[in-house]
Amino acid sequence: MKISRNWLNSYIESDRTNSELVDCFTQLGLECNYHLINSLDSNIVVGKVVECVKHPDADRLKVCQVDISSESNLTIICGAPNVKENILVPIAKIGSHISDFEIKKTKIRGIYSYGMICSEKELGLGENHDGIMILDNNLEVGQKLASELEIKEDSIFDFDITPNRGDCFSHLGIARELSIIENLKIKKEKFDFKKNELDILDYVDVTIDDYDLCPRYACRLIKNVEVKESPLWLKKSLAAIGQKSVNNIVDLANYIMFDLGQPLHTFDYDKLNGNKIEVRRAYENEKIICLNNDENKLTSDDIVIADNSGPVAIAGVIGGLESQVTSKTTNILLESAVFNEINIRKTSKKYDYAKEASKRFERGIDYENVIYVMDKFTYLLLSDCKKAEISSNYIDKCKNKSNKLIEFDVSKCNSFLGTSLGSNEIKSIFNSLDIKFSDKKNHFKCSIPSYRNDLEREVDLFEEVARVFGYDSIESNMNFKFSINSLIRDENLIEDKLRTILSNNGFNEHYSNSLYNKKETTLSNENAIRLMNPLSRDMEYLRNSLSPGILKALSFNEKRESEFLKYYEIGSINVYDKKKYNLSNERRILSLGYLGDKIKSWSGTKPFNLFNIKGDISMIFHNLGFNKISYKVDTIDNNCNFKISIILNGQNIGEIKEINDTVKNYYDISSSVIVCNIDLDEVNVFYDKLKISYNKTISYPSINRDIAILVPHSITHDDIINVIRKSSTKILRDVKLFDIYDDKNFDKNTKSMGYSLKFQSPERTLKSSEVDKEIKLVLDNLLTKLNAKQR
Amino acid sequence: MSLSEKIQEIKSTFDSDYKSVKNNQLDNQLVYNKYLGRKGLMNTLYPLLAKVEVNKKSEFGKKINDLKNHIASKLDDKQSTTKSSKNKLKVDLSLPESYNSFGSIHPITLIIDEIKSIFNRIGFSSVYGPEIDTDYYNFEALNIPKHHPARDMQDTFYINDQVLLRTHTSGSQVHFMKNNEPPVRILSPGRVYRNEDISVRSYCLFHQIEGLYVDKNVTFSELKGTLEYFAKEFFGSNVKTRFRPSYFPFTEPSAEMDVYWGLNSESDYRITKGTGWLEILGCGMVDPEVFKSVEYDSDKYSGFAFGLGIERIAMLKYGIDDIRLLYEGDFKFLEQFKK
Repeated sequence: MKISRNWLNSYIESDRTNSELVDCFTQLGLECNYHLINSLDSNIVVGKVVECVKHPDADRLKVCQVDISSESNLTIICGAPNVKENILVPIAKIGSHISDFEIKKTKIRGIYSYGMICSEKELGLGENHDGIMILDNNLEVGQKLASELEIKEDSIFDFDITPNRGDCFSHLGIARELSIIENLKIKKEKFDFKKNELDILDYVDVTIDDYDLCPRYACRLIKNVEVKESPLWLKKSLAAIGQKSVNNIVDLANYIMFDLGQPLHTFDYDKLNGNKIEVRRAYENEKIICLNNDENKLTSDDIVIADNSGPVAIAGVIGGLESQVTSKTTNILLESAVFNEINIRKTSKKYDYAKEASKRFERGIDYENVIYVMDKFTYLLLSDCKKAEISSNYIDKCKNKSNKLIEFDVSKCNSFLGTSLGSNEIKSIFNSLDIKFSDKKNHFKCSIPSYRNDLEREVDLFEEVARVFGYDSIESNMNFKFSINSLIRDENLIEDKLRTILSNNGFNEHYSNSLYNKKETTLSNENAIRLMNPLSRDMEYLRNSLSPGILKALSFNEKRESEFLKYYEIGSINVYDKKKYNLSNERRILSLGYLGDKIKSWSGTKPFNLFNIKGDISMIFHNLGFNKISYKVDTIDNNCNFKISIILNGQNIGEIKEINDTVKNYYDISSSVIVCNIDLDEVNVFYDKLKISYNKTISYPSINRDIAILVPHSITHDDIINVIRKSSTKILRDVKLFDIYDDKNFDKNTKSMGYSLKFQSPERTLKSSEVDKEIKLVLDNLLTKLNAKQR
Repeated sequence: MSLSEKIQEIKSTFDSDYKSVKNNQLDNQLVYNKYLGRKGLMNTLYPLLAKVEVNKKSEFGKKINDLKNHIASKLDDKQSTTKSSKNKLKVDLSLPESYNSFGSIHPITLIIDEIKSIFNRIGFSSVYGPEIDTDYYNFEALNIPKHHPARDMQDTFYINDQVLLRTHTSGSQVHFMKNNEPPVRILSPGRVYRNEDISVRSYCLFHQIEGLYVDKNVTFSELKGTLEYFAKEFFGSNVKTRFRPSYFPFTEPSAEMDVYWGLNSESDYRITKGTGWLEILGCGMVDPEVFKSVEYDSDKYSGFAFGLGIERIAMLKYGIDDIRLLYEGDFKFLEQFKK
């Protein structure tokens, strides 16, 4: 919201510089910044057109002789349609600046022009650019326009008002805050004006259906107004805060809103049907054509102002087209009212009219100010429309409302804030806030000013005390104390550990956008959750797998010439579950992604295959403290070439998948890609129970024996290991595969596997003969159980 | 073979091996191992020595020692010539490592970890809340009823009328307090969503850390102290901070903490809007309405809460000027971040 410093000066003056004020306001919780508006260039003066003839070589241009009270008249070429003799106009002399360009002597179609006659818009005094600005005849020719029109430089403060401070949406509101800073009272004028013998009750009768919808409704009849261009002061004021000028009535209502915070509405009285005005809920499907030509179908949440024929305005939000003030209007009904915040908010949201008026109604209006606002409007209107007639009375329908009372305890406040304020300090803070109070032994009964809709509880007053005293003046307590009962175990500790393990082993951590399109959700067969209001089709679902995010990152990097990459992401996936309170089963997942199947370097190209990945996964689990992890080939789905389950303690906790060409095409990846997903919630269950058990190391020497066997291809390494282990349990310490050999000379279905067996006893040195016996047993068992022959 | 023959044989094989030893450490070590190592040939002599008649033991003992000294001194000579020669290791160490990538930790993780560890030291424990939540936990219980103007501050993604993507981590407060009695001293990091167009400065999701402390007699002054401690730990002990009033429906009083960033460059002017001050976090004393939602007695307990945006801090700390870089996964970007 824009605030003009000149305007603010009419309420309270401050010696502080603009940037000091920015600091002071910020310390009070009103964030703002400022910019300057310059006055007019002193080379712009009042001139009188003394001669105006057609340009000999141009139909639309005129050659003017302009008197600026200097030795000779200036010749100025002007193309405006409204230029004529004997008018006063603003003249930008040579050397003056209009916004960013400098006025120079220029030749136009053979004749030199020594300056420019300006429009309102060119001078920044309004929006009118249809022709040049014609000045009042009583101005003095040759004088600086800035001083003649009292145009001063100004500073514009742009405030970011928090939603609780509806009372600050006006110059008056900001002036009240400035009065806290300056410790001064603000000047609030009273407005008296002549009234005519018109009884408003002869013209209009107001009924309010429900005072909850409309706690106060006042109106006044003003006859015989002239709807015309606004006076200059009004245009200037509105232009300074970025508002356009429409006509004197609309502008004045706007001005009052920015001045006092109360939105006003003006009806063309003669367009109202009958003399009954009703403030009520709209009927379902009732229609109104609004100022912006929209036809809206209303619902019973909307509050309307209705005459005999139906709604003439949506209360507090937008007026009706039919009853709006136009250039033909002569009699107006001025409305000043307070409407229910929530209804206004619903309505303005629904019709998307978040306009200045509804913004103020939503945040609460000063109930007590309704009549004062109407008076100021009337007073200012009379200074512009001298013939206007004002009704001797006005209608004011309201529910009796008294100021809120809040009890306030000084010691409670101090113990809440950690301060030691005395009751005198509190009193002066309340005084500066215009809070009236009675006190009894440090216990206050406070009466809250009507504009402070946000103050309702004692704690709200603590906030006011802190704010005015100054947050920075409250001492910081750095003696931390906390109860041991508040300490709890971090459930995601495993994630921190995983990040360390992975990043130390060449993986790069990635964070991806967790909003997917429909296609991307098909990488998992679990039900993804759909958003009702997505930003776009591309981000319509919440992720049900982390893989698509990783695939997108891999694709991005492959295009930038990365050949081999290891990526990971740890994050949540959400799967639809109608039994959950939030419809979702959220799980923490670790996802790995590998791009490429070889690692190239100067020392040669090494293949990177499934067993490297198995190595990574075993490494991860080993580092977490798990000894045994196993794998099972799974049936493929339509996304992959192969799929392998990862099994921990008999539980399926994840998968390894090689992405197939169809999916790779979608993500625009050409190298091979393997992804791996591990359900951390599952792993965490086991991680919690992990215990390290220590086996005594053995100091007796060990004996190693190698065996080589021929086995059918269908026999797995695990099968062999199992048989070996079962054959010799007592002294067999370790079995290692050292070779797999496939020779054409073998039977087609056989392969040779070489194992190294390590024997060791915790109690004694083994004899060679014992080991020979064990080996024989092992070989016999391999033969009988697996048909494995020794080579 | 007698012991003396054996000694003679070892001496002669050594002498011939020695001639072929090249001037490098590797060969030297191999020869050393063959003769003087734990399983070396010299050690095979000692069991034989045990079997020698007692009166000849010292004679043979001396012979064995002489041979040992002979081998050792020869190898030593060789060793020293090797050491003095310039090409002790014929390797071009300037060749690149054979690593493909050293691995990296995402800047968001780095910031979360750092903040967590700062607060862990003063007793804040980490808890986690759901990304998908209900209107009640995300808004109502935090004193943001339907049709409250504060809802405009956060554009929300909805799953249905009641279920939504959380817009802040503040809902974690409610979940935690509903299930636990005071004292509460928690941090809750996590991903949050806003229905905002993606641009250089804003993304449809980001990360926050929420902090909450509830106990008897918690004061605003302690809130200030806690967050000043954080600022000093995070930004350095010379950091200048200020607190200014703000508004959040779930805290009263509400505040924002700024740190003084300075005005040394054009970008400082831009990011601080010309004031030199930079907003770092929002905070305040827990509003009694929130306590009412979680059935805590606000006459008995008070508390403070704070929340900060991780991406914003990461961008400031590392000078990242486009938020989208954080989610793109560009290797050239990621590889620069390490613990």
